[in-house]
Amino acid sequence: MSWRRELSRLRALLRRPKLADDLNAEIRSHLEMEERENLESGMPPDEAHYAALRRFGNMTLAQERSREMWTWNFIETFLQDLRYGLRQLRRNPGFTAVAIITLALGIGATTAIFSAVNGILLRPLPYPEPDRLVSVQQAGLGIGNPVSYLNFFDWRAQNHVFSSMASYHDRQFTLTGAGESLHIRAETVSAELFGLLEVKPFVGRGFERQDDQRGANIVILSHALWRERFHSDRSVMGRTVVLNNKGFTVIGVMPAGFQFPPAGHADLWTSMAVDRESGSDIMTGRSYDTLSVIARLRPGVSLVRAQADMDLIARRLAHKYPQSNARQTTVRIVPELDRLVGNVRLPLLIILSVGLGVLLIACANIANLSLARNVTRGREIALRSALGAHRARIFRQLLCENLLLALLGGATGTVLAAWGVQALVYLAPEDLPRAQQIGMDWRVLAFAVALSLVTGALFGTLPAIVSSKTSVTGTLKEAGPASSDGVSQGRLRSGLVIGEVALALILLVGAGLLITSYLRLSQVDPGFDTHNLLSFSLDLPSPPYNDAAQANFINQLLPRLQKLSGVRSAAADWTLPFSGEIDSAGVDFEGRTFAPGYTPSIRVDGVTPGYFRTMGIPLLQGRTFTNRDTPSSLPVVIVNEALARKYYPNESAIGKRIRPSISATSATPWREIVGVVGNTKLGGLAESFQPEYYLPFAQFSVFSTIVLRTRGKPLTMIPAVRTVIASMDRNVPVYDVSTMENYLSSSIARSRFSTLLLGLFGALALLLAVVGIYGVVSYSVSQRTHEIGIRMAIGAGRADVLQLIIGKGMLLAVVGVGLGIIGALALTRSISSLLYSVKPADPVTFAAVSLILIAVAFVACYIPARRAAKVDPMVALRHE
Amino acid sequence: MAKQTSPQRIELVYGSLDMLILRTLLWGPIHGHGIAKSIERMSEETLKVEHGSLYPALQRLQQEGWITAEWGVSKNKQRAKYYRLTARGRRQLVAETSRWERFVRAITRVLRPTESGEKP
Repeated sequence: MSWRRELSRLRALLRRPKLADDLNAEIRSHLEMEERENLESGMPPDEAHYAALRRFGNMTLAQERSREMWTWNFIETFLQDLRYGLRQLRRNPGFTAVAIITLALGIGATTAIFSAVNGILLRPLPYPEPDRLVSVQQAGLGIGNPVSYLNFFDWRAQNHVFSSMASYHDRQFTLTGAGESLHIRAETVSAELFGLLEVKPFVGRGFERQDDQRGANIVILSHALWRERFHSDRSVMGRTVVLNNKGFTVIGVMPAGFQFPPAGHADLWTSMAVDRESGSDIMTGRSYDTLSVIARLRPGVSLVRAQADMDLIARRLAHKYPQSNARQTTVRIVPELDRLVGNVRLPLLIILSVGLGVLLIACANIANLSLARNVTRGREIALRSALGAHRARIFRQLLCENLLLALLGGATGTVLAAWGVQALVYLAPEDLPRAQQIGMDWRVLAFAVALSLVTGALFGTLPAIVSSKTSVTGTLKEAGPASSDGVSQGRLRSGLVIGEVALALILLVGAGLLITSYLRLSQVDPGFDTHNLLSFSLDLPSPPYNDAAQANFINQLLPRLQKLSGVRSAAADWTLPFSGEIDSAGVDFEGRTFAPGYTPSIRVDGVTPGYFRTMGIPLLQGRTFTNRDTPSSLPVVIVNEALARKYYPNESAIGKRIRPSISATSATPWREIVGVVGNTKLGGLAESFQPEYYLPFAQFSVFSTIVLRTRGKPLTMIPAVRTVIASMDRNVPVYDVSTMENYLSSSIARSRFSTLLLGLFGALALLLAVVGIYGVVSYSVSQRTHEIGIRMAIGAGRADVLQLIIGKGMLLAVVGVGLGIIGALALTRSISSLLYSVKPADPVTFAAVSLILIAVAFVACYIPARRAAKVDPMVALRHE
Repeated sequence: MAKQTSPQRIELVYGSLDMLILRTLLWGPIHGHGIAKSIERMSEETLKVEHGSLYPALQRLQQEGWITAEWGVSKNKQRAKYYRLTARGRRQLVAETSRWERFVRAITRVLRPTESGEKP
């Protein structure tokens, strides 16, 4: 084949119809000329015409061979198949509609889930070469152990595997000066961070080495802050902003969309200078662990090698500084993306698998429908076969039809998915990492197309193979449309239905377990009264608020808030339940020693006297804090029931003394336990009650939130609260305003989300499986109408017919349920981490789901059976 | 196939049809029907051309760039598509013709060695 001809074939691709017309015109003209010559040589007109035709030869062959010249054969046949397929689909609108809707639901749901998987797990982080970025953590239990500056400096200096290493930690500021005071969330970063990320500020400059030294009071603003607070004014560069009453010069603004840490909400970034000037031991305490570290691997260095290098350094440091580093003999290196999304990977993939499972059920349904439909086309297929189409061609055409159906369903499904994605993002729990990356991009579309094709192949291949095997003579001889492969087809269809039912049962069991789990979780008693509780934070930065001034402010604020008519009581608190704040400190127990080197670390909270009453936490023994607990009176502490039970199991805890080591510097006194209060679930509904102790605000004035028990709806009190605070100091910002019910709801948002999704899929699976059963039984009835007529004619009653039909259907359902139970027992183990107080093999759930499925299946069998029983035997006997 | 009056009509080899068409066009543009008649006439009715088989060949020749086509009006005031030889077509004709003649000489040498001067 010369290239010239191939090229002209390509060029002719779009002109094919015109070329065909052209050729026909030419042939006509040729025939007319020949005819004219024949007439001129004396032939009569009729004979002239036919002689010309004969002389021309096989016109169809000439046309076809000419056509072969300007096109590729396979394109022609492909287009033929496509057109034919479209016609067939239009001829059966019922089947086509049902199939497209089923496919759209299945493919759409799966694509929507994939867009979440794509956005969260697959999309690379928005920095150059993101797969070389790793998070470096100190070893120990739990995730993300922070490191101290001294250790960080050693890591940075001694490693050979990272081209760059930077530290960061969060900080809060109050922005005053221009306009209303604002609470700022910031990150204090080491100077090489932006260079490491390879991101430049959009205006101004980034940090340089010297900016980490004392005296460099500079900040870089986030684009959002610059836009909202400074109205995108470029002249803010070089200006001073007041943070915590200290002046900082703005040296740059980051581009829009940039955020670091990737899942954070930093309004601005400061350099290390802030820490150097802070006056605390942050720069000198090797145990002062606050920093997160991010590093970029050198080109060609693997994670394994980096791990080995850093472990060596860690051991060296542990040896050199046993006081602080003895426990940190290894370093944990985790790719940055993993750190962000590692813990949602499994749930997401589980949900995706569920979506695919539903799609599988849909495929089985359509395959069944297809098989049934193709039986009625048996004659057409046999005819084509007799005319010369070989089996491969017929198979290809049937498959093409099914692929077309799948693509149509997929296109519809993708549109549905677009909406589904929006709903997903709306319903997703707030702490879902990288949720803003969820959307339809090319990967999602490619997935939808690929899924459609695979789906089409899945449900189309089987019917295509089966139908193209139609025996020609058998089918054409029979008067009716039935194919002679009825028996094996029937078994095939039954098998598909059994599979559907089994799969549906597995999904429904999963959904049922999650629903039970969620219901049980949401009914857990958190240990306090969650209604009508308003909470908010406020900033009292030093300067000018030193410790004493802070305590003073709170002590004056609370009575004023309590005087408001909508407020029942007010208190200040350090670690509010469900707010995400949890702090622990080591505690010594008087008269008790534990294993050498071990001090129990117990949760601590700091509260004002009104706290327990405000929260509705019951007092079980002793007393709560009062105004008589002052900095100069006896140091006291209140413990919760869990602590009392754990450490004083056979005696009263009142009067005993413990010594919490709260601050690293000052010597802490022994404190007397004066009261025991009820337990609260500090960290979440799913956890068990933990020991906790409370320090009085007067003797330990640390707080983070104010809580109010309101008379009516909590949020309506906000304006009044703001007014009160503003009347005391206009420069104190109020932020993070929320109700306890909100916090509670957020805390179980994840469980709620996965329950919702799986419940939806489960319902879909149930619907599809039931439709599948109905289809099979209905079809079987229509096939056996003749046989039923005979049975009724020889004496079978209505009940017998019902029993016959329903019996067959229920057999399929029961076998499916049985197989499903076996499968579910094996598979539900994988979601045990998502379950609360429900075993993966919970018999009640299994039984309930099985019964539901069987009941619904019964209805699905009953309807067509009833139709069969109502048939007039005479009509049935005449039916083919 | 139509019954032929002369039993000596030979089936045309597919490839050589190209050569004949090009040769026919040497004397100027002709339409398809004219090409068919021309070949028959020039070969003294020996070569039987099924008219229909011309058209695929004409397509192929166009694709190779050896001929071009244009709609025109015949002397009988009928619309017809006229084909014309291109410069490349001319060169191709020369090449094909010489190849054919070499082919014929070779066969002749084998069939009748004494006539061509070769000793058996």
